[in-house]
Amino acid sequence: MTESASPVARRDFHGEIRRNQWHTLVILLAFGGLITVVGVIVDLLVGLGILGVIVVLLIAALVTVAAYASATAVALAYAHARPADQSEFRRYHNLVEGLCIAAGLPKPDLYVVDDVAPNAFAAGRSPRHAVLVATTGLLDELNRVELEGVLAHELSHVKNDDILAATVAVTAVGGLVILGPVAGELMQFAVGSRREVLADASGVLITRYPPGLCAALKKIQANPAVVRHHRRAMSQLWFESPQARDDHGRGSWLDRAFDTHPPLAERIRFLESM
Amino acid sequence: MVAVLVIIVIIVVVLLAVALFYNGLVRTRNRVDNAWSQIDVQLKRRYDLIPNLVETVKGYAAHERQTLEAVTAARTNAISAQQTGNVGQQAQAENVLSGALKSLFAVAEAYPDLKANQNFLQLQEELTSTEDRIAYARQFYNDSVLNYNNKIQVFPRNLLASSFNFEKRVYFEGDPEATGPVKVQF
Repeated sequence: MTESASPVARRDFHGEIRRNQWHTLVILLAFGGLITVVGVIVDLLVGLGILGVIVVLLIAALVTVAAYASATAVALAYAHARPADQSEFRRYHNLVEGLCIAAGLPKPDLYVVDDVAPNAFAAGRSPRHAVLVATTGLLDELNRVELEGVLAHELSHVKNDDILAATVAVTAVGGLVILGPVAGELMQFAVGSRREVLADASGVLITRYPPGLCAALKKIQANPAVVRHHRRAMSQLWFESPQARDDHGRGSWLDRAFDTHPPLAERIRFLESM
Repeated sequence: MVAVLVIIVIIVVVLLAVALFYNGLVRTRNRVDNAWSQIDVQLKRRYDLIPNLVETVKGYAAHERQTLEAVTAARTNAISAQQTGNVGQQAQAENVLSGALKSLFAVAEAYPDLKANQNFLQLQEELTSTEDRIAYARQFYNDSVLNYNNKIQVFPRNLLASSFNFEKRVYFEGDPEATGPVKVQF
């Protein structure tokens, strides 16, 4: 399996990593650019001249750096996450440590969200500065093999280095939410629709056991609960779309504009074909 | 004059290529060594957990002496195999130890008090996850060996590899019996 699967996968991932770094830069520039444009308009109205422009540029640069640096902390705060205690969440810690050995990654900081809806996400700037978050619903409801499938999926987001773009989008695109659907477009651009399917595939490359993740997806599909603390600007991070679904499994139009998740049924079909 | 320049350029290019290939090989070999030490860390963890487990089980199922002794003997055996540094021998001793632990947990099924013991449950969780980690560390090691062996065997790196003594590494094989059919005795 390794021999046939990994060269293809590796080529793909290198392309994805470059794409992610490039897109992160574009989002940050868009964010800084918008602040600059607004600032310059205000400056023209007030009439402070060239000095005002310099101040605006400085402020835009500072806010952009702050958006980049604080993205992980903001995502954790939005989700109401707390650090996962070593002894209380023994199995969680053990599973992640094992998977990190298989993936050759440093162990990320682990967090939990007290919520019955089964869901999880990974965030951070790089594999060395990564966090993993799981809801208590996920930890309680899934068995060992299923949980391992989901955690491997999240760790492969870290390994593929696609946490950077999705995390920075929380603050940068979040700051642009006033633009409405345009910000939604920017989110689609930042994250891409292949992100989840790619992580499903490379997660399975870590566990070497597709039925585990597949069973987890089916269990999550059967559970209609969604996380309570959720912002539109961070839906791209979650394992499963955190947005409330109607009978047809779809949210409101603005929610959909921000949603980067393919339907669960599609992901299950893909795993079953492996 | 032009010919001399061309020769110099060719020599420089060849030297650079050799240096790049050589560094690449060293990096890959170091990754194999690092992956191997990861397995060792996890095996050590398992050796440390076993005496506790044996003591706990003894308290509830003292007359399962045979099973307990088998685990203790397999542990001692595995530790001495680890010290020899022979990959094949060590893999075999570890497989025997895994088998002995499996039968110990199977025996524990018959003792409800033991199964409800908090200490036992904790040890069971630790040992299960250590088994997982050993499997994952092996997987990582075998992936690294595959990558390394591929590198030193393809042309033209094989010329360089043989002249600098880069030797082929051995995979950490699983128990061949574990993949066979399960024997049930009545």
